[in-house]
Amino acid sequence: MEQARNRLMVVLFLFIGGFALLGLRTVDLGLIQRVAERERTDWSTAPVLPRRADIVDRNGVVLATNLDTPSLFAVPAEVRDPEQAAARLVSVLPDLSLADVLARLQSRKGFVWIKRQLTPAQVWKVNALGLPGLKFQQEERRIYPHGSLAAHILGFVDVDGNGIAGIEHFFDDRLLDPGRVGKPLRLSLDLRVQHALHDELEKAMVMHRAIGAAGVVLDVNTGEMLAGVSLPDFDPNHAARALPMARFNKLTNGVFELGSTFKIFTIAAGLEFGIVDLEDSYEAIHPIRISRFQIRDDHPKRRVLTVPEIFVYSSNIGAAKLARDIGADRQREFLGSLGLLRPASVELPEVGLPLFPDRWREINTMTIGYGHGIAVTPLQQAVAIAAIINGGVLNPATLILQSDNLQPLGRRVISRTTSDQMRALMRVAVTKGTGSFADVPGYRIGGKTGTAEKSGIGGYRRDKLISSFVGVFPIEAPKYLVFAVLDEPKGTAETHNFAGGGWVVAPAVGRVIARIAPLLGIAPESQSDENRFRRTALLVRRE
Amino acid sequence: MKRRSLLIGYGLVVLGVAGVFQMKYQIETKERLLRQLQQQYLSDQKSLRVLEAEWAFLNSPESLQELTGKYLELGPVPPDRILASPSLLPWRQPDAGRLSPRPDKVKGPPPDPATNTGETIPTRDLAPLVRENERLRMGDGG
Repeated sequence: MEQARNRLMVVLFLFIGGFALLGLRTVDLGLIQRVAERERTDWSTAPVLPRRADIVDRNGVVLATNLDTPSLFAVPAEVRDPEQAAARLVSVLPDLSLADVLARLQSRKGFVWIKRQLTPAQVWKVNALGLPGLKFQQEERRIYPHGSLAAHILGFVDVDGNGIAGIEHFFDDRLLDPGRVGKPLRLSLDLRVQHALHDELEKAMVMHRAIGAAGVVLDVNTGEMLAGVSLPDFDPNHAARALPMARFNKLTNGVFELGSTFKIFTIAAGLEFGIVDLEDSYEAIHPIRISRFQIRDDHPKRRVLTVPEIFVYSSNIGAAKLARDIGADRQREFLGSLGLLRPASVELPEVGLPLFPDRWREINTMTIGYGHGIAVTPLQQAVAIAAIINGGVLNPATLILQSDNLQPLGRRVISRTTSDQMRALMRVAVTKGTGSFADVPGYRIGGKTGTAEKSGIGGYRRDKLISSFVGVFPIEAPKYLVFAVLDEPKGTAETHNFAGGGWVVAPAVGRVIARIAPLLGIAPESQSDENRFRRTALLVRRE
Repeated sequence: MKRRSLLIGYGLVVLGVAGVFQMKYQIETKERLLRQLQQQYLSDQKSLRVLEAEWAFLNSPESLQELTGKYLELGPVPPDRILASPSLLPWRQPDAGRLSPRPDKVKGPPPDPATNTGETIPTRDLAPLVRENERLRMGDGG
């Protein structure tokens, strides 16, 4: 009996010890080790991040984003009748080829893509077929909600989401960086300005049956691009379908002999180096003959022209003579300091190499004086002009929004006085000269026209032009610059069959400025600014 | 006595077990709710991305311009319609708020547009309206 009782006690204590251990472990799990359980539930409060960061404009409008789209794949081993399945698939997805789909369905692989990134309607149709062995996988697709509007700036991605062109390519690492994928890349573009420029250039291109166009809106004090357009363009949502010609970015990759807008640099150099002042004049009665070339004026005045008149009436003869006085070395150095002899620095992979003579002879100096014999991209031309009129500081173009408190890293290229004189000349070129069609009362636009003949086989072609116009506003303290180029425009009845920059591009730039100035907060002035540049204006004699 | 404490002990055990089960079921319910909310959150975030893209698409300047041309009689504002300062507006009190009253809303005899400028509108009639405007401005401005 005593023995039985002892045994019972041993068993009892064993059980008590066992349950006590269990109880302790429960307390341990419930109170001490519950941190582990917390972590399990925490993951899902993290935001869902796309694989590639969004791109937004300066106001936060979405320019490129990633959306989930289903892609169709097959597990060939599970497909029962590949021939019939292939035929039925092609009947609902007509852009697939029957032979190709059949080959994939008959392959020995465990996984084959049929079609990437389907629309909801296509998914519905494929599901309606009820074929076994076909499955969908959610994949991210790059969407450009504004279509072709900023196509050349944004660029595009391939089907796996890797940047192929434009910003998408240049900032590929930044956009794919997992640490920064939640923060959108903010561009300097303003979508409203982009649209105004795109719209007006498209209209001008259609009206004058041009084969292409390019344009840019720059903040002259920071180098920020508010808009950049190259036409014809393409829809980056379907970039593979675009023609190579449409994909080519004329603004940053195309080099053109831009003609008379180069006179801005010639005259600025002449004033800066002290070779001339505004009262000086050059004889422009006879065309210049040099070797086998002849330099003549498009708007011949056949008299002695003051420096402002050379600029305002766009005299090639005067500009060539002034360039000759500046000399090859100084001209080359000056254009180099404006960044015109090396590729423009901008955050795009598509940047064109300027073309200029290896041996800078006198004839080159003279033709470059009025913008022939040197080919640059419209963007670098705009950046250089911005430096001439903004007080003399060159700011490289940028597509990234600059913060307000950051001082731009500009480099002084001309003195403030020269810059002031150039602004006066550009205003008078609009009020009294070739740029008069760009004038918008109230917005004080200064500008310069450019009309260049395209070079072809056996010299320049008088019927194929590159017409351009640069407009700056408000001229007394410039904030924005609009530069536009039309490739091979044709004259219309309204332009009396002229196709020069003053006739075909200046009105378009004027309309762009009238549209964007209110958006950019530039108040129009009701009083005429005639007196502001009176001294310069008086040097220009009207016929 | 011993019997009674045993009964109380049993009762406590039953209550404890019932309580623990009750807690377990409540936790399960809460966890189910949490999972649902997490799912909801994820799908909301996805639809947010889709809606943002759609918003950008529908608000694209090109389509807005097209719709404006179709349904509205609005055009770009010519420079001569833009004033540098609101104080240049006729009928406007120099010290009035942004929401300046329209002349036809002002009580009292209607001012004669031919002779009246902003200064000649009787200020005492305007005072309550100006105060109201001030109040509204303070309210919405924050």
